[in-house]
This record gives sequence, structure tokens and C-alpha cells, in this order.
Amino acid sequence: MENTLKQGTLDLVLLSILENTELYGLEILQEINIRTEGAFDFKEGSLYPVLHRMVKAGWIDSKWQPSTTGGAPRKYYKLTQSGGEALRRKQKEWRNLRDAIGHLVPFGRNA
Amino acid sequence: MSQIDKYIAKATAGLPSRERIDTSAELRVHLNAQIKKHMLEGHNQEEAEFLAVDAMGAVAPVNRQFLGHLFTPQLGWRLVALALIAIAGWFGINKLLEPKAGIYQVNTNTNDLMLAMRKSFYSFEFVAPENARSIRYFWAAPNQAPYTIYGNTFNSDTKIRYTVTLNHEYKCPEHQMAAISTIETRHVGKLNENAAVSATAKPSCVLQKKKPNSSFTYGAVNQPNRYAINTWYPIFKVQPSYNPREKTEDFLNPKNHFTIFVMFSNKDGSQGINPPEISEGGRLNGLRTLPEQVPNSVQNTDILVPSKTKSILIVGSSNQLRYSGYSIDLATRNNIKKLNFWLDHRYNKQLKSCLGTNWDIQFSFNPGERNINLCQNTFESPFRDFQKDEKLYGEFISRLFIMKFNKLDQWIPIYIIPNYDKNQIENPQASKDVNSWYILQVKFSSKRIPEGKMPFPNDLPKYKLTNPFDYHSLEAVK
Repeated sequence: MENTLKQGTLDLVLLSILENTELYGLEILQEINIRTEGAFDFKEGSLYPVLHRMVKAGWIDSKWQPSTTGGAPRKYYKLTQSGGEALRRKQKEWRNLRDAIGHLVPFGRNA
Repeated sequence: MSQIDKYIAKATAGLPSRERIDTSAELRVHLNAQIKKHMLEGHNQEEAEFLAVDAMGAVAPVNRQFLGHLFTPQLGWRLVALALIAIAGWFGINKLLEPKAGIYQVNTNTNDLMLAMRKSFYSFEFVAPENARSIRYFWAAPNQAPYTIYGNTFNSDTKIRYTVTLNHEYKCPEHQMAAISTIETRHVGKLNENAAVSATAKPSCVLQKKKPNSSFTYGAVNQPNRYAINTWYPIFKVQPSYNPREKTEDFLNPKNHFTIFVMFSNKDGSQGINPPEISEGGRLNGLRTLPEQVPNSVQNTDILVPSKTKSILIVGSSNQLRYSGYSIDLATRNNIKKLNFWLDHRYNKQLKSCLGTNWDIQFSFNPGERNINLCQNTFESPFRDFQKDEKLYGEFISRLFIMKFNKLDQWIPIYIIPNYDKNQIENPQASKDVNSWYILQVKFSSKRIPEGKMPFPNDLPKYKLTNPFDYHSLEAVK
């Protein structure tokens, strides 16, 4: 996937991943990889600045918690109310975009 | 430093301390988890670290997003470091290497070669604090002590060096020694403007009970940074200060010990600031410098008004005549704190000598007119029409001789003035033989007295003067 396209949808991807669950950084990456079937790969180091930006924007909260699998404590991220509103806004934007693009480009694997 | 440490250090460089630690911990947990995973896949520690760090991607864009600025690239940091070094160097050269404000005893030579050969002098270097614009110093002594304030304006980065000479080989009576001979001032270091006002004390003879250098008691020498702006500090005490001036035996300094005070001011040197001892009332010699051609014919003195004063009475009298006086009702005036006396011995001179800028009220007195005049709203220079060959009554040898003025309702003598006869003007030597004199007295009254010319007061003390040229010979007549 083109980097510019990924950059434009990164916030939507992260907010979607955190919509109903609390995850730490590595889990977020793994979840993205699983749910996008590896299509949305990006360098792990770029994740954290984006997460921190979203924390500052008030979209997500972070909290250090003991690891559920043992080992060092991890920093878990979860969606805030403001983040939920941002997610719905971005989902709507994405749907509009998808519909608009859909008129131009036929969807379907064999298209 | 491991690859992980290097990565974390670079990725978090420039973040605020708390945020940097938090982010470092988060990245380390992430990297450790990835290393553990790679090691389970069969990689050794070093390989696992490499793979974990490599997966994180380039550090610069990551760091740039954290920081939001362009200092992440090494070039940026190097530029910052260079700028800091340059600023530190500039600061060091301009500030740290400069001498600190204070007064230091220094090894230096006096301008007087003979004194230098005797090695009987002390030198002090004054380094003005930041923002200082002038230095003022005065000599003060207890009791009957005339003293003078000297002011000098200079650049703020000027050092001033005082050379205080202790000349124990001065010609003094038997069993006495000279305590102090000269105090000279000169600028050292950066000097771009006014020359210093020099203070010179003639050699002082004292009973030789101690070694010469015991005559000095240092006040605040060699204490860097002790000096604040607009604060009087004693520098050293000189004892005693009897000051024979050739044959005239004129007393320039008090009989007892005196102390030299100094103050660095952020104001121009021409403005008067009261020394600490006279805040309750006292006297200052006027700060303005008299022209050289009238060295002894005019005298200008400020007198501070004690608090709670309601009226000020000024009366002149002599051993032969009575003069009328003048009263000032302070209730009709605002905030009178300082009187100024302007005494003029110029013969038959029409007085236009009120300089009303640096005090609240001013009197002038002319022996020829024998009147005390109240000057108001007049700013003419007394020197504007002075002619060099103008006839004078004679040398102005009278002095203001009482330092403390803080008592109310008491007549205080302030000046003794030889009462020259006009016929003696052509013969200056004859004027030395005068046997009449007059005296100015002031009273700070706690009662309101109507302002204006006033009749001769009945309670005015009478005095006799054995020697009209020595105010110390004044005695009250009961």
C-alpha cells in the first residue's frame, strides 16, 4: 500500500483498533497486521509518535499496567469519548470517500 | 551502549524529562518483547537486537514527530552546540573575566614618587556594580564634623582606583606622626568620559601610639559583590584627622576620627543623595562645583529639614549689629525637605543667585546688603556676569560647622562670616584684621509662624568669637 494512503488513514486505523479494547503498542501492531491481513504494514517506530499525538489530542488515554502475559508493565491505550467521536467522524469521511471512489473504480477482487 | 540504548536515546532526544523517560520505557518494553520473540526464533542476542531495532525504522522521522522540530538531525544539534558555545564564550569574556563589583586593596604606586619610595601608602580599587552611573563618597565624623560629598559620573564599566597614602614621614611635631596624606582618584580600565573628582587630605599628624597602618580600619574592603546600588557603605576609618594646612591651621577635617563612605548610584553624579547619618536633618555641602575664579567668595550649602518641623526661622546677627530674619511656614508649602544657603561675598553684588533645582527652598545672603533673601522660582546662574577682576570682600573662610540638625525649637549656628569693611577691600591683607563678624542661625520650629520678614528674636543666643577665622573659637555668651 502506498505510504501516502497509509498516512492518510493511520488515525482511522488506530482509532478503529482501539474502539472496543485496550491494547499496548506491540499488540496494536499485531492487531493491525491480523485485521488488515498484513496489508497495512509500517515501521514499528512510527507507531509511538502517532499514539502520543493522539493522546495529546485527547482521542486516547494511556496507562501503565502490569502485563497480562507476564514480564514488564506495558503502556495500554484506550479510546476516550472524544476519540469515539473522532472515530465516527473519520468513519463517515472514509465511507464518503469510498463511495466516491467506488463510482470510479469498480470494487471486487477480479475487477 | 547497546543498539537499543542508542535507538532509544536518539528517538527521545530533546523531549522534556518526564516525557522522555516515559517514552523510553515504552520503547524499551516494545524492543525487549521483539528481541525475546526473535531469540525464540533462534537468533542470538545481538541479532535479535538488530532485528528489533531495524523493525522500528529510521529514527530521525520518528524523533521529528516526537519533537516537532528539526533538531533531530545531527547537523541541527551541532549547530545548536556551536551556538551555545559561542554564547558561553561571549558571556565568559564579557562577564566572568571582569572584576566583580567591590572594593579591593591593590598593590599599586601612587603618583607621588617620594611617597612611593617610602612605601607608606595603601591603594584601593573600586569596581562599580552593574548599572552604576556614578560614585559618591563623603567623609563623616561624629560631633563637629564638616564633611563633603563628592560625586562623579562615569561609564558603568569603569573601575576607580583610590590611593590612600599613609605617610608617616611627614613633618609633624615631635612624638607625632602623619596618619594620612593623600587620597587620589583616577580611573583605570575603560574610561570614556569625565575625570574623577579627587579628594585630597593633607598629611595628618597624630600622637604616635600605634604603628602607622593601624590608623586604618577597613570597612568593606575585599568583599566582592557586597555593594548594592544606592547604598552608603563605610570604606575605612581614618583616625585622627586633624589636618594642619600650612600656617593657617584651618580645619578641613574633624578633630576626631572620620570615616569615608562610598555609594554607587544608578543616577547621575550631579544629583544629591543624603548620606545615612543625616536622614533626620543635617548638612551637606552643595554638590555643585564652584568656578575656579571664585574659590572662596561663594559658598553653597544644603541643610536637611528635620521631620515634624512646621516653621523654619533664619536670622543673621553680629557682635555689632542685628539683622532681620526670615521665617518660612511649611504648612503653606509642600514637602519641604531641604534648605539651601547661597552665601556670596562678592562686593556690592546684586544677588541673582538662586539655583532652585536640587532643593526645596533656598536663601541667599550677601554681606554687602546684609539681607537674608528668600529665593523662589529663580534659576539664574550666579556666575553668568562674574568678572575675574571683581572686587571681593575677602576670602570666604566661614564654615558651616554643626553637623546634627535634628533638634527642634533650638537656635543652631550654621555660619560665621567675617564682616569685612568696604574700605578694606583695596587692601586684602587688612581684611585679615577684621574684628567684626556675623553669624547665621537657624531654628526648626515645631510651631507655625507666619511667613515673611520677622523681627529680631529675643531668644537668639549670643556668641563671642575669639578668632573670626576659626569657627571652633565660637563660644556662647550666657
